Amino acid sequence: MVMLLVGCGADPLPAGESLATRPSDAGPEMVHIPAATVRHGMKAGAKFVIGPPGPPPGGRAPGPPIGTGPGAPPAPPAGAPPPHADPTSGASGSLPDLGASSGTRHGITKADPDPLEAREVDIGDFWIDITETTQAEYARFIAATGYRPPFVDEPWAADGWSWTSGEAPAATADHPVILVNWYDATAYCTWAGKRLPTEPEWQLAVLGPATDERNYPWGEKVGEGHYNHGRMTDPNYDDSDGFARTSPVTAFPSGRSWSGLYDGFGNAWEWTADWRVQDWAKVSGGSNFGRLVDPHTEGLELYAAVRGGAFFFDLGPNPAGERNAFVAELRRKSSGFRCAANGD
Amino acid sequence: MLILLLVAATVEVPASSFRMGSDRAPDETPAHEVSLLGFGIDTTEVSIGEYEAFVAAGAYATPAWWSEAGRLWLEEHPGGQGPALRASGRTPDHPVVAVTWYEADAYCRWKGGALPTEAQWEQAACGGRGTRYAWGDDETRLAAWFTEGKTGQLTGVHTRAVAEEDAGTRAPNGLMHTAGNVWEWTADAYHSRFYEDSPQADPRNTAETPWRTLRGGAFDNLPSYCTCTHREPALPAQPRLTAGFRCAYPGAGP
Repeated sequence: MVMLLVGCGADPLPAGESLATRPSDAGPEMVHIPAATVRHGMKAGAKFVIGPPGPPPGGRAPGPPIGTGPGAPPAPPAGAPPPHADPTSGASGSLPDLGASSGTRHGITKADPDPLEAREVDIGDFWIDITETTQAEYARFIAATGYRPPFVDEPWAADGWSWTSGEAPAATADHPVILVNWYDATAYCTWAGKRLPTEPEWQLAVLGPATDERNYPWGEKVGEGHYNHGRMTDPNYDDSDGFARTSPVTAFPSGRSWSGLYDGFGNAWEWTADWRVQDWAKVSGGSNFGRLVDPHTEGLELYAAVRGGAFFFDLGPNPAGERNAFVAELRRKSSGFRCAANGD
Repeated sequence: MLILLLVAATVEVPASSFRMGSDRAPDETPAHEVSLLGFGIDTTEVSIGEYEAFVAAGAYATPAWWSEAGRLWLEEHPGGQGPALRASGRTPDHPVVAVTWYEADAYCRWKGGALPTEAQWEQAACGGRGTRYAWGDDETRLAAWFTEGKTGQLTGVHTRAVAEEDAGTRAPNGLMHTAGNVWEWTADAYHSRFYEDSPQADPRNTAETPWRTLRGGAFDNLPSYCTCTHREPALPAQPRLTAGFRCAYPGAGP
């Protein structure tokens, strides 16, 4: 096994942590996350913040000019804004009950719709992919197994979202695979000899342990250049970060988490292994003097837990805006995933 | 409604040929001509009451009714998901859910039939008419699907009773809930490129793949998942709150 120290490369880590990494047979390099105590669920009294704090409606600070963002992205097609015949396909459509709100939702806050109040839980060590699963990797899976290519049979999806075969579109081969549902993500990770991370594992890898929990993967404050986000208003795309749609999975090195993960916030929403439940009675695991160990959700449900936000829409910091529930069978243009594996 | 009393248990599909697949999804192409022997198929999805009668008859204690793979599964799961999850808060006239492919297969064997092949399902549901749904292309009809899939909030297993359906969404041959309500297990192994070299006569994918194919979409899906030709891979041992089945029978029916 090749043991490396994260942080020795060109991209210094904000926290300077030294963690073991290893290559994967399928997928990106993995990083080893040591056991820790994590805050799982919503902080007591947390508000579901829809939209980033700070900028007033219509007054968002402009980002860098298109084409100068991280990773020297290709400029989006000149002239027309991205087609958005499916304006509700992303986070805006999936946010639980927004009541009577409509139009711009910038800065709207609402009482936590998810009454799973935060508890500290213990997580054993595990490995996790440093990037979201790419389209090229997903194509390898399809070629090897005959699994279903990402495709949605709706008019909007024909504009470069759906695949037309088992081959990844050349222009987005190093972007996260999207239009995958929870079952697709689970099937891929199983094939790769991995599994989806549980939600608290994701929380630990991206935002840190309970004793050092961050608002964002890169620190405490939102900022341009760290992640591929959208915007709060229709059409919910935003190319001020250099990308109207998805971006290559290593395009935002300054947005890496304490553990070295790319795209913890932004690019694609990430499926987790857990159903989205509203009751701790549906969460089981081991016990350490009454504290849950390696919790996971029991039973069959309809919604799975997703984390991290996407290029579509924009969201506030943990523990609210980038935590969501998607219908497990729905294939969204904003939903992807990364895989994890058990500790050694 | 009086008409509910007149629903025949099975629909007979005479020997026929039809155009299977579409020119849309990568796993639905190429559209191709398929011929089928005559078969019977349940008019409705199997209800909770029908399935629990199978359980009461000793389903989980009678390995002889199960496939070889099903018997192996049975050893590890001696009661399936249990009656509470299979009902999920609904009355017995609703479609059973949370049954694996192995349980669906055993039920159909017990009834003297088998799960329909993908080709049988598609022919029975849509007759090769080339429309997206059994009744045509109109997505404003009130099928048991979830048009608010991206914006709404499901609060439970919102199926409809297996024998209650608006006339406007029933198939011309009388089949009910072919679009939406619950996914339906078929006999076929799933492979996205099966249509590229599948047999012309009575095709069934028997390849060793990890997945079986679900058809028809469910109450939690957008209409685009509920088309005549949509193919959904699913692990045979992985139950869903959204998946049930109906059975097919050789010749004229059970």
